[in-house]
Amino acid sequence: MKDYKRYIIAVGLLTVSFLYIFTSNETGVARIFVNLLTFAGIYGLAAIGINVHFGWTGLLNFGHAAFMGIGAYTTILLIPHALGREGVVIETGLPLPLAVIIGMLAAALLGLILGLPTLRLRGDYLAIVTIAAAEIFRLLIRDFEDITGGVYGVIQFSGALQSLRPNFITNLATSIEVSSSQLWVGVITWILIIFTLLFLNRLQKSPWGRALRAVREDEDAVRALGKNAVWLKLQSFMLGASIGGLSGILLAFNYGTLQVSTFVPVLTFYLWAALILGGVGSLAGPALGAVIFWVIISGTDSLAEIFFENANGQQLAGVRFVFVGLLIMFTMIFTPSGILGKKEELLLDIK
Amino acid sequence: MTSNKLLSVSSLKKSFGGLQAVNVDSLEFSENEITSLIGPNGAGKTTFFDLLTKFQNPDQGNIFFEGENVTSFQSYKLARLGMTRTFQLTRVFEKMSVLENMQFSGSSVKNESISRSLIKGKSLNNFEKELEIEVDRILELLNLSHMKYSYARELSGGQKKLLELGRALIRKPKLLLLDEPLAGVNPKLAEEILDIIKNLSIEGINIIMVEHNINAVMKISERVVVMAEGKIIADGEPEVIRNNENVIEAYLGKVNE
Amino acid sequence: MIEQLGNGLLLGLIVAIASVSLSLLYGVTRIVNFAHGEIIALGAVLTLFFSSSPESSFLYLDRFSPLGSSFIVSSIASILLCGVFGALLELCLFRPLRKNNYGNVAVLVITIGLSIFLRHIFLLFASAKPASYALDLQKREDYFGIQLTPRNVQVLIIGSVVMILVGLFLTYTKTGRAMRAVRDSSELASVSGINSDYIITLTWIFSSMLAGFTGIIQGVINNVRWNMGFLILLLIFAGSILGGIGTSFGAMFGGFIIGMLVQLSVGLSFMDGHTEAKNAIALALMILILLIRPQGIFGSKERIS
Repeated sequence: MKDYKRYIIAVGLLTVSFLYIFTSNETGVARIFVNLLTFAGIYGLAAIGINVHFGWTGLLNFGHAAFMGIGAYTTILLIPHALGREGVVIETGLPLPLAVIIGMLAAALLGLILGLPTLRLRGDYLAIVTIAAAEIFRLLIRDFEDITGGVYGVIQFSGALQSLRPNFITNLATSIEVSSSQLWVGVITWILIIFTLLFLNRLQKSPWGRALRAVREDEDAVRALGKNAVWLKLQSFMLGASIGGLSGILLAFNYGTLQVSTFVPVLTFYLWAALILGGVGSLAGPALGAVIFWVIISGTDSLAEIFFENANGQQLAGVRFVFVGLLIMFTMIFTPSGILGKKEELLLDIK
Repeated sequence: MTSNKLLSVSSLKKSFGGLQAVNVDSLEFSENEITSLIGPNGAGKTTFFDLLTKFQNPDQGNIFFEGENVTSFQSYKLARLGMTRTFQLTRVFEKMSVLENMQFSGSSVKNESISRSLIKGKSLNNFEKELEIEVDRILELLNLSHMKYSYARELSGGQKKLLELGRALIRKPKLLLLDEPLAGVNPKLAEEILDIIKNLSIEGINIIMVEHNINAVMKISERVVVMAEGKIIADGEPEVIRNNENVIEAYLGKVNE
Repeated sequence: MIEQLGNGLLLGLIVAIASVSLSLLYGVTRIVNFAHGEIIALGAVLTLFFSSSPESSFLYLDRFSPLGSSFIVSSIASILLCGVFGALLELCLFRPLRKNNYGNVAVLVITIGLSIFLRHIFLLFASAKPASYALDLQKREDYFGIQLTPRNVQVLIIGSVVMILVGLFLTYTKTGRAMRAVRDSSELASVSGINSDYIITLTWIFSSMLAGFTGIIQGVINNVRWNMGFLILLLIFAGSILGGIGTSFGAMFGGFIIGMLVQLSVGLSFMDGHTEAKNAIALALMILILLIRPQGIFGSKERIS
């Protein structure tokens, strides 16, 4: 498929999805849009991180939720916040930008810890270890209540971000009847996406990016040419992890509360579905995939109503995930390169 | 003669299961020779190559490169010290262009860091410019200039072999290990490759090659090492080896089995 | 910690058998099947469906009511159906993928999608609440100092017998040897006249039946949950890595050790109130092994990188 055709298809799909949302909701369309675009943007950023791992370097990371979570918890706990249950309030903290950087570094550090033992070995090991790590992360956060608030979560931290909100955003939000705090998060998210893509674009065309592509294809040849393949993989792993950390921070601000249940392993599978759908290896693919994915997911809720007359919350979740699973399978089987990705991408073998 | 030995091994052993694949007591290579490593199939030549370049770890023994004990080094470190190898089945980066294949190989490790790649300062740009000049020179030598921007997967089998050779060359190796450089190559291309190898040797690169093509071996080698069943059974000038009884028996013996 | 010994033996046995089933499948097909946990769960869920009395209310869909058959019959039927399911997976999904040269990365991601899909089908049709088979409650008794219920002892015995039978099957029967031949080298195997496709299908059937069996006994010992497969999958991976990927004996051994260690760790003092964190022990062990000896105890170096 020629490139411009793919873009046309992408735009077409988006238009159809938006029309669908438009027509199925009389009121609050703007609110739905802002909500969708914000979530999709955050997921898109997270998926971009996974793309660095998989699309650029061929690494199988199925525990991205852990990177997102560690970024979120590190940052939020460093700024003024309160713990959900006891009402413990911590009033002082670091400036937000500094806390964000530290959060991203924490995610990179986790990447180092997980990558060091596994990147010398075959790719399946990394997959297993990252899935396990995400699960463990969830359990540890839940258990160490005194610091993390456990199942009650962390609250009252949005101030750090919202206090930076410019007036015109607030005014815009009021005029279209959306939540001003969410609009602000959404705007920041997409600005960050643009910056990240510019940054990654520069890297991709650099000697480093070139080296990574070589590693992805044939590690042995890379080693025979004097390059340390493991170190290159590790760098890429840490980079993708820190992007994940950043998206986790945004996710926390989007919700307004920080809870363990946000960073469950299935989150990673959502991201993979978005990535595969949008196109592995392409720069903007993950973001596109995330948007389409979110539209589909919202659609499944209505489908659930068709199957189960009085669908309760659990069944809704069940149907949603059934579709996620099917989506991952079908896109992987029939369009492994997604909408914007390159063709032979997924005939790849992890050796 | 206490010449500076480029590469030497001692008591090198490797077994798989119960089978001893390599058992070499001692072998040395000094500057500026074209050495061919020959022997019947299963003699252990490729395993020996793998051991030399640390693509496999020896069970026992030591490897010295330029006087340094490199037995415990990882393969990429050895390559950086000046030992570059090619593979039996060509391994070019198919999804990258010929130019990129060459650039990657010739690029310095320092430039392949995230920080330097982001802050594309003057020195990086200069380096890349000079690198491209060198790439052009080598592509010219290999008659691949016209494919410079093509993806490596578009190359013919023979051209891929040349590209692999080019990749090795741009690293300015001290020792070049070629694993069956003429395998599956038509006679005309084989001649070209042999010429290139000869020229490399003249320029001062020491070459060890595993080859089955006996004509080629006899034609350009200054030294022939024969392996059979993991051991070295002969080592000397081509004409001497050709008439060596052990060698003949090793080859014929295998045929009669 | 000693109170956990009984539970440790049970968990160890379960993880051991499950690890063998996964390891066998991987050895022959080279697929890391993330949906394997769901086949385990399938065994448990089917047995539950067949054996529960028609009035039990755990199913949401009123169109299907459980059959109320005897537990033994249900178990056997369930195991057989798991075998059929495995065969279907191979014939309808994995064989076409193989014939079309899908890389093992794509296949791996597909198994992940499959596992999500299946797991939530269970959620829809079964229950979010843990369910148990209609077997009478038993009290724990003392067996040489270990606290177990009589049924647990039966499970231990049956499980061990199954393990031994599996080992004998793989070592001494023609089919078993053929499986090992394909595992070691599929080209060599086909040259010796073994039909790889046929053996692969048999392996799927065998491995799935074993997995189903594991699920049933897990259901007997603990309970049946929609995500029981996912929970045990981590332990299986850890066990297989510890014992050595691709070696059946190693997987069994490693699986057993992991199951024991994980359960025993529940008894450690710093784990008080953090029982779920026992899985963290499994992860820590896994990372440790990968650092020190990635091929596991019995694996061979060539298979890992």
